[in-house]
Amino acid sequence: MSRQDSFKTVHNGPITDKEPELLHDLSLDRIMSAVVALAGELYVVRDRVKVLEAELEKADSLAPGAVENHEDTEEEATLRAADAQAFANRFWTQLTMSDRPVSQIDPRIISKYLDE
Amino acid sequence: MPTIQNNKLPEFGAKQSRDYISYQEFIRCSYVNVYSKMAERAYQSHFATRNARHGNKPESREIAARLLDSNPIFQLKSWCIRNLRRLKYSQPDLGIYTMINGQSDELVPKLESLIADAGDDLLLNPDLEIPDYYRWVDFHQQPNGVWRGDLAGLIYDYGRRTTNPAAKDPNQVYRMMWKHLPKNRDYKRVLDWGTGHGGGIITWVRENLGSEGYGVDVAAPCLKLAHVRAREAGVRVKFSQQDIANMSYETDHFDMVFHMFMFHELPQQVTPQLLEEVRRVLKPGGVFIGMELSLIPEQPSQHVVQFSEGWLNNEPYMPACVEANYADMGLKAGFSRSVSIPAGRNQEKNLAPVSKEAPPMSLWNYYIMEK
Repeated sequence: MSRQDSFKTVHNGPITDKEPELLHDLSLDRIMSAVVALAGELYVVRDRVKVLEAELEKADSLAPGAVENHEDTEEEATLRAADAQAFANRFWTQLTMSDRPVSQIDPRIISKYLDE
Repeated sequence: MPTIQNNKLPEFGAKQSRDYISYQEFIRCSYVNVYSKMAERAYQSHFATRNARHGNKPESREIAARLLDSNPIFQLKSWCIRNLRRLKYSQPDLGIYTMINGQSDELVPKLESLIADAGDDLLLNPDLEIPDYYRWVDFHQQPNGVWRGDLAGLIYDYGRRTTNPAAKDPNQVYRMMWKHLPKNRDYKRVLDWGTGHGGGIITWVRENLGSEGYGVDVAAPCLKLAHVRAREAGVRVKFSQQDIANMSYETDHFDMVFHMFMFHELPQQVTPQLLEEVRRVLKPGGVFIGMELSLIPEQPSQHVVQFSEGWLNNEPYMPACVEANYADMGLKAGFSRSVSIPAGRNQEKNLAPVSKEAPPMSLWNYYIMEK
């Protein structure tokens, strides 16, 4: 981070080298609240899927136990494995990504256009 | 020449998976929250702390910056300003940049075929030297900027659909601005200055039949996309790739030139010369109108937020822009009349107003200059 003096989050200049760290004082209690809220939302989706399965079974659109006993074809298994991997990658990349910004600013602008 | 046709074409674009659409909708809704409820909470907690520590003493920028810097909600908002954009563009599979570039084998030939017979409606200049102030910045955190890569225009066009997250029609801001044009004039020949995706001039020509539309920009990928969008809208616009410091248009050529938030993408060092060039291509009595962000007078906390978020969002010319006096600059460039009009508080009507004590998140000014 360039031209960043004593401030932690407030910025005074362009980001030219690495991603800034912006969170310093957000409490763990609030982060925990957000995680639990996310878990609640996840259960809502899980429950709706279960209800949907039950309704489809009742309407004879789905054989009883069809989801649980489903066996992938080779093609399905390949697609599902790729989807699972992509999902996992999207999650873990947030923790392992480079701190170099994906969008760039050439530091030459500082001396040519930003220094007063 | 006919400027409008009624044979609307399907929109050129990428195949969007259900997952991509859902993910981008989550990002858009997150922006709405950041600019409304989260901003309101940040200001409320900021003013509560300020009042407790400093009473009713006027706030300085230094005090505002120190208090905001240690404010957890402001930190969270700052994180969102920086990282929601990154996630919007660059999330593997689901980001706009990654999704569109993943389909480049199909999209690039399709785009080239759509512009193949553009003729004079799309004049590109591969030898044009891109100005360094533009070349050096990936504005709005769009990876590789809006001028590198064949599909940068399409990425920009998709990105702008969530830039103003509460607006259902991203072209509505142009209509708001044109309401401030001097009345009883015939705006027959109109130039969109820094046209980008072309949304402004396409909207103008569709809604002002008989008007000739022109769009100038330095970025070829944007102009290609703009030409395709004009064709899709059944509208004829002449787009050309030029440096706005030295345009090829004749002197006294346009009745109106407009722009949308262009000033904050330009360094102060070059702006006076660019205004003189706009004045040159306007007819006597012609109007230059644009919308731009500004500072709320005597609201240091809003100033600190505006500056800091400009840096975080890769808009390095923003801090100087919002402090500049463009009305005065217009007079110095030779315009006979040059004024700024505040567009009002909380222009984004769909966003919840912030608390009574807090300043609006931003102030938009209309700048109107007449030759």
